[in-house]
Amino acid sequence: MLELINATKIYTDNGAVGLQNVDLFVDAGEFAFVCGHSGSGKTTLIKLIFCEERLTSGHLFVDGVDITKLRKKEIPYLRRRVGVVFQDFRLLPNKTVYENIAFAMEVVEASYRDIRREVPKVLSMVGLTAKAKSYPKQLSGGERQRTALARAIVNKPPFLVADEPTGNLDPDTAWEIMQVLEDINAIGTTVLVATHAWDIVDNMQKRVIKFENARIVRDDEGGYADEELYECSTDDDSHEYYGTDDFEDEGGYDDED
Amino acid sequence: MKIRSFSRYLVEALRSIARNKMMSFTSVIIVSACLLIMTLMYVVTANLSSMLDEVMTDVRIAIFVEDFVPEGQPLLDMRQTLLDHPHITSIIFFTREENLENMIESLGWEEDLLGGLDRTTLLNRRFDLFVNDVENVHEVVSWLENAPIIAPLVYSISSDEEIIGTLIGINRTITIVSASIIGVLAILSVIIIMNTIRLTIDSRKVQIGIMKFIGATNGFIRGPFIFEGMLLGLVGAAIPLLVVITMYDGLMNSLIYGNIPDVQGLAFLTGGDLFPILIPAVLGIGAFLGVFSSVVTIRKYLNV
Repeated sequence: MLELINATKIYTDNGAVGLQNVDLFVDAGEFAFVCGHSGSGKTTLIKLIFCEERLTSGHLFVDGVDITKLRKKEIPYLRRRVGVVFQDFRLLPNKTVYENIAFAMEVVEASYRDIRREVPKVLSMVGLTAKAKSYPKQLSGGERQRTALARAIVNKPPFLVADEPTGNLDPDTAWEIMQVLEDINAIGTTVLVATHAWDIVDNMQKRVIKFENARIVRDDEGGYADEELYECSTDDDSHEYYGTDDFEDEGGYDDED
Repeated sequence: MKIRSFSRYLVEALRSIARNKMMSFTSVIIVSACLLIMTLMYVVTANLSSMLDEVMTDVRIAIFVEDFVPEGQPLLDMRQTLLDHPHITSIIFFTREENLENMIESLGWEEDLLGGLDRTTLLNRRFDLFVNDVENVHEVVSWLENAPIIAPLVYSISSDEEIIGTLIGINRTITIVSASIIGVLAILSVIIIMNTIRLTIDSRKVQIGIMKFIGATNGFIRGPFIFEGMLLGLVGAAIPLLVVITMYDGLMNSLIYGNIPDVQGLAFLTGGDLFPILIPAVLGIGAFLGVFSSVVTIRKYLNV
């Protein structure tokens, strides 16, 4: 499902190294956590997977496609095969839960019949049927993240990546979100979660890929997060990439970040 | 493009127009002003052209032949020289008698007014020359006056050169002045529509970002902006068309049937002549201005 071969990413604007000679293989149907300190390369990996950034050298295969060779106009079609969830939810504030999810199908020009059939299914799967007509501002953090998850899977992508999906949530809600992710994985979707939440990683007993200084330093099946990682968990690296602090105030996400 | 996408673009575009009311209104007004002048210019120049065409079908230069040119071959040679000129299409020759009869008829004189005068020597022989284009009358007259091959044989020349020149001059002035104003207003229209579209892009940045990462194609993201520009252009074009169509027939009726002697018999175009060309042209230009402005703005400000 995901394969990196000698992948290196160097940011052209500041020369920072995002990934350095990384080799990684994630099989279809797997559930894996990506852990590491701020700036270790987790978010770079997520951005590379959905082509927000491009590799400087090496190869990256997603669902069998070498996306390093992908032309710009082909990127939207890759993104339809990769569901993405962010810490800051990125919901449209002026659309209801139902409309936010349906919007993902409208964008790929699905028929109204398909939208009417699929949206209630995913709403039920994430436990939000009763909140279908609510607006994001009327939802709790957990409900917003469930909405974002529903939107990410409504087009049935074979691959779901989540960047700090529990970063803004209390432990109980975070655990609920992980359960939803596990359910999504159970229906065959490959799930890759970048997180600082060591307790969740420990409890889930899934594969753990640890990044340090833009390299993979540990890759364990059924692994644990480190105490050391927990020490660093207060530094949320996704902030520096996405400007999430301001997202809510601005009423949404600015893609130019 | 699917019909569903088409309706979505339309709905999104209408929402944006409603959201940016003032900018949309300003855009429409500027486009309307530009196209109103363009439409009026077209109406005026089309009518002037029609009048010129009408005049041109009967534009003739009358040249009176010197008495010393003998009848027979020399006169035939002179006729051939005239016909050889590239702008002269045909010639009618009038004898002295025919010339006199025409004059008497056109002036409404009584036959006996001429009394015992010798009708065979009273007037010169005459060639009426027909020219291929009204704009060439001046050149032909100048050739007749100056060319060594013909000038000595010509006693005098009579043409409507001055009137024709005035009509052509008016037509050109209107075209140049209107084109300049239209040019300035067209640029202004593009700038105003660009700003309106830019506002829309700014207000939708969040949505565009989300659309991008859930797999929207560039066309799907750009579509509503192009529709918005096109709608602004089309509405801006429809307003001057309504104004001109409403006013034109009324104006023509009052000009033609209003007992104004100077315009009687002038070849004004009817609405039926004008509007089948005017309506699609103005709507097309309006839509083009809108789409062009949108495309430029999207290229500049929308990085998809």
